[in-house]
Amino acid sequence: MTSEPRVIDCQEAARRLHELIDGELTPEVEGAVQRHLEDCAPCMAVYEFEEAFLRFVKLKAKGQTAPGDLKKRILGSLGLTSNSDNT
Amino acid sequence: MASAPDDKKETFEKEALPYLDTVYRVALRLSGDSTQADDLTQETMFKAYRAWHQYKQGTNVRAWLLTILRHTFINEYRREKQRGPTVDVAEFEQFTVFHDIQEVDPAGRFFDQIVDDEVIRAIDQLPPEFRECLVLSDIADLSYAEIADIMKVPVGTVKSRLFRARQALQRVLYDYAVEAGYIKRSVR
Ligand SMILES: [Zn+2]
Repeated sequence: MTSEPRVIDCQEAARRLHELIDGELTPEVEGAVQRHLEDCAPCMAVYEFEEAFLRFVKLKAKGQTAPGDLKKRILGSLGLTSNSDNT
Repeated sequence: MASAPDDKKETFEKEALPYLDTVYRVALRLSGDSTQADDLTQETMFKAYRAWHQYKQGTNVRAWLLTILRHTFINEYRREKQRGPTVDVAEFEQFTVFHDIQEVDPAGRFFDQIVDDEVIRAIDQLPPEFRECLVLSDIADLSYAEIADIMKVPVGTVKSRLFRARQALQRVLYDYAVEAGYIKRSVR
């Protein structure tokens, strides 16, 4: 026999938003949070805002790349020649 | 069987080297200093190459490289540099900025006007243990479990530090955006 699907309130949904965005929830909890968001416009609005914020942070914080001369120095000291560096 | 030197070169180039920029970014945010970040990055890649036979194929090479980086930083660099003031993370703990901006900019478009340098400055203001969680998650894209493993703290600690670090960052950037005139402060 299967148990009733889990139901969560706005408070728990708010706490779980970042975990949802990070893909860190178990399938059961993820389903519960997603069902809550579908039924609750205020929480969905917060979710969309947080999602946009985290996308923004990740993008801006990854702007820098290692200086070219540092790369050359590292490759040289390891006896390597490659210059692949795209993350 | 030990792999031939050429094989080592080839797999290291193919699997570890693509993360040089990630190592450098994390080194910059941990040390807050570009000279130290250069040295840290170089030392990390050197140690990683020397220990390449210890890397378990199929595991996350980013997490492995950053474990070496953090270890090197803590043992050889951390005490050298005095950093600027940090924000009080506890103060921001509970609140998303959303409730402040929902009337004027619910999609948070004002963020797009904030330049990279300002975001970096705000990250650097976080207390070290919070900044580290955020950097390992949002710059290095590690999972909570990988971060917990690197920082030697429980996953629950990572979760709460990361959440608080992000909320503090959000608040600092919102305050900055208000001051810069990108968004009007609404009265709560
Ligand atoms: Zn709700």
